[in-house]
Amino acid sequence: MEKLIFFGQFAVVAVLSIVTFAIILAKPMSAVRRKQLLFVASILVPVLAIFFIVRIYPMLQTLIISLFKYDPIRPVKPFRGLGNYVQLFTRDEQFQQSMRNTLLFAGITVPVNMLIGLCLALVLQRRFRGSSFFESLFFIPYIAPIVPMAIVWQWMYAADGVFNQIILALGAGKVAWMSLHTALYSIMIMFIWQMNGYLMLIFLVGLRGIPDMYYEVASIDGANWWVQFTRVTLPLLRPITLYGLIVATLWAFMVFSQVFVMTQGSDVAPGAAVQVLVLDIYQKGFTYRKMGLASAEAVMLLLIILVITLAQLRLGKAKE
Amino acid sequence: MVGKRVFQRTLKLLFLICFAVVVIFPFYWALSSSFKPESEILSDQFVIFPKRFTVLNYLNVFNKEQAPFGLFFLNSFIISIGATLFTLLTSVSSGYVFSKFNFRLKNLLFAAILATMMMPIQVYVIPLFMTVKNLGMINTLPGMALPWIIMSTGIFFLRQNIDQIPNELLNAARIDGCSEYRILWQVITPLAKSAIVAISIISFNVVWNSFFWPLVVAQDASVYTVNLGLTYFQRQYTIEYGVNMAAAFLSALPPMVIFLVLRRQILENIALSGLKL
Repeated sequence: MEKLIFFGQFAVVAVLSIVTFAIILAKPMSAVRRKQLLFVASILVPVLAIFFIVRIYPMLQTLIISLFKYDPIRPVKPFRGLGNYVQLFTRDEQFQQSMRNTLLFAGITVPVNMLIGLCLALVLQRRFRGSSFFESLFFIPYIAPIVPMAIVWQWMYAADGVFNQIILALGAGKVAWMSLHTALYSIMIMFIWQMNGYLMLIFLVGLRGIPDMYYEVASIDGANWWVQFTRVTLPLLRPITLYGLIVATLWAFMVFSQVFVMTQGSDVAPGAAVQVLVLDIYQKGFTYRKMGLASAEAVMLLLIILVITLAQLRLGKAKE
Repeated sequence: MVGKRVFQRTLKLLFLICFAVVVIFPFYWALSSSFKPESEILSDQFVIFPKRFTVLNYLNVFNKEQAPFGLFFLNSFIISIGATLFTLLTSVSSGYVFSKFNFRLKNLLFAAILATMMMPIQVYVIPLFMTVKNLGMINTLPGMALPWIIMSTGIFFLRQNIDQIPNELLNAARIDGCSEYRILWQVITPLAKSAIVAISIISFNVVWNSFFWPLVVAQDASVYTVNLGLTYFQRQYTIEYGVNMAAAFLSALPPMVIFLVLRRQILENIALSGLKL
């Protein structure tokens, strides 16, 4: 079956390419138009072939594999129907734990991230000497690669790391930052530190796009700061807020590197307490070789992302 | 009134400075730790500046026999630059075609490309892994770069950008007898320069930052990227934090240097287009 699936994709690509060129050559049309279409095909056929092989086909395959008990080194791959999904939701404690953790992760990081991003943007809204310096500075953690920064933070969280050094210097007792009960929250702090700059930036773009006229009119009417904020700023910022909300939510559901890197070699490595969705997919698929089950979980992730993205489109349209 | 304004401004600045300290502290801490000797690192004391300054950690980064960090850097550069070149090739050419030509199924194909923009690799990693395995590209650099030789965002952004180029210019070139390929190379490419720079930066950062896919594909240290190399350091029995910090700082450097050099352009492009990095 694996060979069939593998060669199948190239067969599909080959047939579609040949049909495309055949149609262009066979259909009656002017020589100029034919030459034009041949150019289009010569570019798009390879691009779309790559696109099909590295994106579309794997996504379709994920759906198919999720219906099988799929161990790559066993020759027999029994069909399970929706069995993998049933297993996930009824018996798989690991999956349920990682789902709860991921929801908690999103539930906390999304609002906090949005709020901090908005606050910073409000402070930086009116340009002043040095404002662009702060903008760039706050954006730097977002530009810095995730893995090295996770390693730095892991060390800062260590028992004899800098956070505990500071706490000791202040006269308090050490905190176990990466214990079973605290690790997930510590990772959230690092995550917010890292991603916040992007939200700040898009809020800033949104705020600076609001014409001064609106504020002038509002002040003439005697509106105070709070009224201006709730009646002018927030409504006009709605599209940006929506976009930021979607992005922040997607990040939270896709979190992996931070958790993987920061829990290595600590007490929690990689225990259920910090298990998140993507980490669970990775372990099921590549550590335990339960690729069918892992694919079913990947399909759940796909559905979540799809729902979030469609919700954005819906909400975005509804107000326009 | 004036007093109130000065007070407000001071408060604002104070807030920003406090926040800046929080944002910058991890970078500072990694940097200062990387110059500390091991004895100073493993203490309960909060030492903000290294008392004895040493570059030994940096030398040790490149002196590990089991973990040749120089090679990891090379690997990271090869896949990041290689994938970026492919991404540019596919984005500019198909961006031109989607922007300036009409053909059947155009909107459907473009919508299909856009639809996958939000989909992370985690969603389709298992089948992609099997394809790469069957192609014999497991544990190779091309295999590690494969998912990034095409980028929906790139195609979308280049199309938007090329839409701005007036058709008259292209028609003038056509009347002069230019082939479409030459127009693509000699007219479109120079005019879409700023979009090309933006996409290059994004693509380079995405690949340099990648961790999940390399983790799946790489099987021994010969193809490790810096990210994998860092976690390899981490798994050693005796963790040398100074060396770890030096390695972490070095591997965070390329994207950050690019940002500092092209800061204005990056912030503007994100500001203008909502591009995601």
